[in-house]
Amino acid sequence: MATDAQKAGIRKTVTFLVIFVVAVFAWSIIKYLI
Amino acid sequence: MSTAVADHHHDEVPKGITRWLFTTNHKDIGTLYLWFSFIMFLVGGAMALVIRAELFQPGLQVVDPHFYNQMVTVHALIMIFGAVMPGFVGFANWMLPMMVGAPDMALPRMNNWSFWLLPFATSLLIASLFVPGGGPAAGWTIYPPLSVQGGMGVDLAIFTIHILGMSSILGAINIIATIMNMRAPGMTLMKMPLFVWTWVITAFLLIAAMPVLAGAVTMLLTDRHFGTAFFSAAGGGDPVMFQHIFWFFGHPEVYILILPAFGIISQIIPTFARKPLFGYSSMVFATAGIAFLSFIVWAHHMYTVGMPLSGELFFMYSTMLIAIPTGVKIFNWLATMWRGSMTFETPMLYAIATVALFTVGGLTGLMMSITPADFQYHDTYFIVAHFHYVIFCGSVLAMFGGVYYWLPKWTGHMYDETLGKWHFWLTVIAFNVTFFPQHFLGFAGMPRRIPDYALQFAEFNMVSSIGGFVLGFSQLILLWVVIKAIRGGKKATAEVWDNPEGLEWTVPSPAPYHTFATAPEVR
Repeated sequence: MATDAQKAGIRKTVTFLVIFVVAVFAWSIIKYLI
Repeated sequence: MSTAVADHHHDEVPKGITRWLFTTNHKDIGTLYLWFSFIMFLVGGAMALVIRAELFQPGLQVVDPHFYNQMVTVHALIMIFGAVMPGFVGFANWMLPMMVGAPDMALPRMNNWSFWLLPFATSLLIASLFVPGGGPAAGWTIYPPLSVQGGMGVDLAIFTIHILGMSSILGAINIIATIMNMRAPGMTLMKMPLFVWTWVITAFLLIAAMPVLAGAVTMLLTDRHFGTAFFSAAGGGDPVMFQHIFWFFGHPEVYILILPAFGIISQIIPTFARKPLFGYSSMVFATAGIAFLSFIVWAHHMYTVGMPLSGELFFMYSTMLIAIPTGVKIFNWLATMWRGSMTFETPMLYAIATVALFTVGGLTGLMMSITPADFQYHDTYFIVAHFHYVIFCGSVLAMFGGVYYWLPKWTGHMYDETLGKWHFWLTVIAFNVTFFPQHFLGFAGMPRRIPDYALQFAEFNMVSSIGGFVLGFSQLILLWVVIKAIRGGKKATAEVWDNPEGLEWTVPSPAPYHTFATAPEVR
């Protein structure tokens, strides 16, 4: 289905977005604890 | 934009229940999302009818006040998270890969998971109505301290929000990954159809807003069960802080509900006006502008809570600014229609109704952005009228238009135009009968979220309830139209309409199970 170049792009996009989501979730709580 | 049509090999369609349980096909998952959304629309609609039955006349006659509050709360949660959001994800699944010339979504197995989280989550929410103490009853905003004091139903609602939020985030990641990486050669960003643009911007809103809601309800959960005091003044916390966090999510959420609708009508209007969309790039930038502004206006939901004058001024002016990119969009839709060879098939009727009636909701929103005026409107039926004009007329009417527009592509059959028009006129007239009088009720001082009211509000409430029941039962026409089109009818051509723009119209109707296994060339 997806080409190797597309797969590499998808991997980068997903990694960036997952880190962003986890950071926003964590920060929305941690900022009230510190 | 001219295109080459790809060949469609190996079009065997799996059979039986396993097709739907284990599918990774974007069209199947789109179908699942759309049916789920429609079922939730009927469930949430039934709850709305309980509310309207109770409000038919003053006094308490149908349900007790606590159950009424549960209906108000669960109706909103089901409609927002169960009906409108999944509905648009259904459109995204069906149409985005075809529109960008991709064979499927970037992450097909995760796509299946994103969908199957939904029935379990909403079952939890509906089950909350049957646990001791009943379902959540603090309104969809679940403000503490009321939500901290609620029964087990609030916990179920919190878990529901967690799971639905996770589903939305996974869906958003999938959509961004697809659009950013799977576009056909030649499909540059500024050649993408407006529906694709509005969805990629919506997906970024979801990514930024949903984790904040997840954080807020997690803190609510720990306040309820693990001895923290994030939102308890007695423990050093602050219940107003919850409101700030909630609305930091809540206002972008409004645009999560509306931007894909803007995308759908931006596809429909050029087709039936037989002209290209006026001001394509200004539409893209206006959508991005609305998305940006949605993150800096949240406290306009909280004027009456109290904040410094400078805060009130900031949120008032930033809210007013949203009228500018929204006005650009409305101007562009009107300019697209201007001197077009317009015809008024059902999708176009819905698109025009969306533009006209969403504008009513937008203008009442502008009234409320004025801080001192909002002190009068806050928590009255004026607000209820306003957001139903925005969400029903903006999101739901556009979705109906989208269903009629793409139904021939999905089923391979033309829908029944007469029934479609009956559905349109009954929906639009009944909607206005239901919600327009609520502006007057709000002006006259009727508070929202009450099961009983003073005698002077009786007439408008009776009119509103009659409209509500007609509106509710009219939706069965849509169900019949869709079933009829699935079962048969006049065969649809590949183009369906008169020379519509977009890659989805280059594939046969119904769209083959696998499309664009070889990427098309976009010139």
